[in-house]
Amino acid sequence: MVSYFVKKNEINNLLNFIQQAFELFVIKEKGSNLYWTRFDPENSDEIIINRHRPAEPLKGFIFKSKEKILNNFNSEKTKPSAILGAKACDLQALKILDYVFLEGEFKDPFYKKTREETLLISGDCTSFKDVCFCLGIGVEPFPKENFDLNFSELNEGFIITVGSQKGDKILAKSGIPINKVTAEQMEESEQRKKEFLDKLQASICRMALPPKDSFKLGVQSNFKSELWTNFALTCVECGGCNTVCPTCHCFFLVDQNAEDKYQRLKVWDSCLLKRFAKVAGGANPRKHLSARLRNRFVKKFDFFPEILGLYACTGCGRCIETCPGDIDLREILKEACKSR
Amino acid sequence: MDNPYKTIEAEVIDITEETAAIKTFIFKPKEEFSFRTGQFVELAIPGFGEAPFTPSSNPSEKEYIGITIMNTGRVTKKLHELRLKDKVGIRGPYGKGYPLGEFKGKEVLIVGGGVGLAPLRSLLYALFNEIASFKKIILKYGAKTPKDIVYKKEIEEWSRSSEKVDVKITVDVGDETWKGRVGLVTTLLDNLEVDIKNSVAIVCGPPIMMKFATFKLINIGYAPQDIYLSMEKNMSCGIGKCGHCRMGKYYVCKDGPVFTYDKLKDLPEVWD
Ligand code: SF4
Ligand code: FES
Repeated sequence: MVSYFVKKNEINNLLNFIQQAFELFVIKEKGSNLYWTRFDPENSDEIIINRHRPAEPLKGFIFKSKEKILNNFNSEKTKPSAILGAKACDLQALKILDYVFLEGEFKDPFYKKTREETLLISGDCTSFKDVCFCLGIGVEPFPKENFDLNFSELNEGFIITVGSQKGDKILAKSGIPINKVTAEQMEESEQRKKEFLDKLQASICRMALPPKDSFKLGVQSNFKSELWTNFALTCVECGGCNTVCPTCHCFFLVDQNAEDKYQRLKVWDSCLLKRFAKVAGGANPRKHLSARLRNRFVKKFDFFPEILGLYACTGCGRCIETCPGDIDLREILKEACKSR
Repeated sequence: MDNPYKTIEAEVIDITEETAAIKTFIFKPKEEFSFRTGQFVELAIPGFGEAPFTPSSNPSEKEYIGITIMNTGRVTKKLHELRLKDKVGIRGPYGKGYPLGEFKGKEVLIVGGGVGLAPLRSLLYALFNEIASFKKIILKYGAKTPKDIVYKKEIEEWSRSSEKVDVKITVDVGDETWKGRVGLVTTLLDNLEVDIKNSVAIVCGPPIMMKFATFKLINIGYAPQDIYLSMEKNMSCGIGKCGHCRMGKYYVCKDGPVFTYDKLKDLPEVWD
């Protein structure tokens, strides 16, 4: 992959250029969290490109929380989205979503279209949250794939790495001055990454997570364990963990009526909710909350590694942060992987 | 790009009341629509919702498709209100059906419970289409009461149709009109006159019935890979995306709905 050095003061020009053809979303800080927000050229100073992942997952830009899949009567043409500041954990999650929606006999044309037209500009992480444990599950905080452009921060500017032809074109057409990355800049970048990795590593070490290769067996061999019942005690079945998860892909189909017309919608669903697996006749393989909590772990740490060789968890820690019942995925993994 | 969620319009051209809670509808799709026996379809009431069904009609019938529906939930209740000439949406077919090729030259034992006879009726028709290829076709069917027996007329016809076909029915609880057998469908598997080593068994019915029928078949000597089960899970998308129908490492909608028991026997939550 080729990289260029771009000065800080050129970034606004790049964003303004991107804005012409895309609906641009950037990260801003509100309170103690980071959020995606629409780019406003008048108000571009507090844009965050690096730092850590925002509160909401990236998936919502591509796998929409609610999408018309039939009878989309007022299909006004909208600009594709461009996302600035996506983080490695969210890009890793796209591997799961791509597999689900783009592989196999049937492809999801809605996901495919959005996935192809969305411009993904990522950024190396330069800070982390207490709940971040990416390294503990084998995800590096510096994007290596699944981006069009990636930003690595330096004192004076950014090293922009080109990850696709689309990214290459945008950068070239924007007309902003791009420079060869000098040896010193490379050095500075490596140094920053190393310093950050050390800090992140120390934080994750303190979590005392079991080795990542033991998750699958741990979850598998604890199927009948009491641990699910114990952890489910405080779950209030809000489904928040599913919503904020960058890899959760389940949805349901529902009809919506408007006068004499109707639309069929595809809407995010949550496997923690009681009706998720219930059949019309009334049978429900996961009547108990503990079985539903367990199911979430089985899907992420047993099913996906089995069929795809990947955990459907990227260490973003959002479920930990969001859970009103204080259920901590890391604690469940620890319990499941305890040697007995 | 093709939209896999798109439905084809189909018109109701016939309705048979099988029992108080079960009706068979014949639909005529506007476009070509065919299925292999054991595959399922999604049936939609426009503006109301969709539900999965395994057709009960003969798969060689290209003009129409028959679906037997028990009134048990929101969508099926609405489907029961359908009248002649009403329109529905249909999409599919999905999943893998019964591998008829594997049944050739064998004694095919079919075990059905309640409305679970619906997919099996389609299978029976498919077997009858090529009856010379099969050694025997044995149907063991159980319903709750005589009033819950579906396809009464057809069942009579089947038993008389060929030397190769043997039909036995039982009800869990009889009534004053019932002169036949009383007992669970599994009792029809006692003293089976079948060459088990050259036989396959196909089971469809409520989960509890499938469980006990399967255990019984194993007990009397069927190998797990010779027992075919039609699994009912909460299918929504039908195309392996929505996540609702997952059972262990399988998606029932694409890896099933028909599974041999060897694939399921070590999975949790199979019978629930
Ligand atoms: S976020 Fe917590 S309380 Fe909400 S469904 Fe998930 S585990 Fe349960
Ligand atoms: S029905 Fe949606 S994944 Fe099987």
